[in-house]
Amino acid sequence: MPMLIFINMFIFVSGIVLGNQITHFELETKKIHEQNVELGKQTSHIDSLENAASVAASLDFVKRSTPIVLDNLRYALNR
Amino acid sequence: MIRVKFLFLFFLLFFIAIAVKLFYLQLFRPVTSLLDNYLKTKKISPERGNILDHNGKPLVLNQNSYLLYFEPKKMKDPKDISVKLSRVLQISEASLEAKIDSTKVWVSVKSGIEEDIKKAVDSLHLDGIGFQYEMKRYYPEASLSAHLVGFVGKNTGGENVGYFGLEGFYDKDLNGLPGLLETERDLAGRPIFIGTQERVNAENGRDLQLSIDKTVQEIIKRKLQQGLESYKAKQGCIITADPYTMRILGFACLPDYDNSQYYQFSEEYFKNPAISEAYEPGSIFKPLIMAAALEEKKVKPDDLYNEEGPVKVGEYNIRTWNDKYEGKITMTRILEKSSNVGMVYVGEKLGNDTIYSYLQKYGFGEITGVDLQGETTGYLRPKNSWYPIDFSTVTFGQGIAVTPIQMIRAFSSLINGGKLIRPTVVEKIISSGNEREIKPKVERMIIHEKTSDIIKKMLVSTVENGEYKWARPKGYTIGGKTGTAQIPIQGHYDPSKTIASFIGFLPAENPKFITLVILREPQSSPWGSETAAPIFFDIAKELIVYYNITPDQ
Repeated sequence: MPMLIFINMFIFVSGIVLGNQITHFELETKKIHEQNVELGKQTSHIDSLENAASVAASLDFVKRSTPIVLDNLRYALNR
Repeated sequence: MIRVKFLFLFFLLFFIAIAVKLFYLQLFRPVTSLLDNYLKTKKISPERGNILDHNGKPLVLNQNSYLLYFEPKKMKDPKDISVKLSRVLQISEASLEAKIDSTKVWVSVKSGIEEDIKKAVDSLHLDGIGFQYEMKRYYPEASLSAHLVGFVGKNTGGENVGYFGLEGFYDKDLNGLPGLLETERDLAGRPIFIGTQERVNAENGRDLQLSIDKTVQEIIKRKLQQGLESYKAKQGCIITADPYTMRILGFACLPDYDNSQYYQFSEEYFKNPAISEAYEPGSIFKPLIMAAALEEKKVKPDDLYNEEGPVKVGEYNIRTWNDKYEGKITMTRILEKSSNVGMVYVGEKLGNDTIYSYLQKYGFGEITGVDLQGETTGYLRPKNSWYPIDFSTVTFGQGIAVTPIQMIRAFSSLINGGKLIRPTVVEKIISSGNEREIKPKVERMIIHEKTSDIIKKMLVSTVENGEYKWARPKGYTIGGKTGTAQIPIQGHYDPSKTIASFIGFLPAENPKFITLVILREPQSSPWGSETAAPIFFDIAKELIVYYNITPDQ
């Protein structure tokens, strides 16, 4: 009899502990997912042409290089 | 014995009390909120698919976003809360105070709140406010591809729905399927381990990998912006495609809108003019009719036509654009100098029925099937409503309304060996562990390869010997044609308002790309040769470098 009561209590307490763990991991997973999404956003922003253009502008690097060979082919052909 | 009886009686009364209480709770005073807390069924929202460019770089992603809500019953000092929140949210105190209705348990305040704002609000440690997680779209390249991508808004049920462009066309693929979580919880909201725990995972939306290359997109959009400013045009569109597959490489129209702030723009900005608006193409239409005449063996490139003056069709006089006439000229020269009267001659050789059947073969009057929402058919009137003058004017691109996407598709068929191909923007649809490639679909053959080679040479000659000398990239054979179409207003043409265009391709032998440039109502010059064509050559120079195309001359 005491054994059965003990087992029941053990299952009851274990259930609560596991329930707590499920809640904890649910929250952790959600948090990690949100962090992942945020990091993905930051990475794509850093990798974007939009960001490159704003960095270039902040460094006063605004002139674009157009290869002169397209207008003067002799440079490319070494003539 | 008495003790046992006493214990028995005690348990009997105890269980009767429980049974009575349960009977009462279930039949007389069911507490639905408690039942809800006990067995929770929750919808698991799928994540909307990403949109990637040709190289897998993101054009559209999801980002964290939050719905801010009030729980007025938990608020101790509503006035203080609205004062503090108004500074962070940039919403007036009065509006916030109006939302704090103490009779309500839960009030939605503002959705689409980003991470940094949420952190700022959290740092205020206010009572009676909370956040509900949701996702919204993020555009790393801002509005680089606004018309192309479309946007995600809400339907009347408050659910996310894609509108316009790719978001609209591929809404079901991008949206995914929701999942379901059914879980038994105790009073504290903890899952009951031995209770019901059923979970059907959501199927996230599929990713779209486009044929659009964001570098090409950036080049054409930048050049279009500069062109609009230089030539003071009202509107402009540029489409660049691979003529052999009709995969779209770049696609931009201006003015456009900011996808992330779409609600600040009126509906007219959402329509993509390149697929939704029809225009009279003007002279860039001439090669299509010329190719048909070559295909039908009605003319040869070196056949002569005597261009001696205006041509009378019915009561109308048709003239060249500059009212100058060169006498005997070849068919190639007709394209070079963009002779309207020469084209009327070609049209007469071709015959009215054949002209009309070729217009249908080129796909005018039907949608191209491009995978973007909002495409229209243009306007090809029924044949029985055509007057003789219409068959003459259509040879130089007037009296017919086409969409830019129809125009570039038809023109591509001239230079890709005669195949009319359905244009596509999406290259692959990617779901977890599965990729589906969207292959180019040849709708029909229009001209033979031999005719295609001939018309390509004529178009190269048009660029090299045309009326206007452009700053072309040297060392490359480029084919193309200018167009200047007057805009019909209330039954007549307004000479001051034109649609200037240029369509070109390079290298001519084996084109890597074809680009159509259209400017609506340029003010500095009405001519396509002086406005749209320079934009094309500027773009060509950058694309030559980007694609590392070797000179062929």
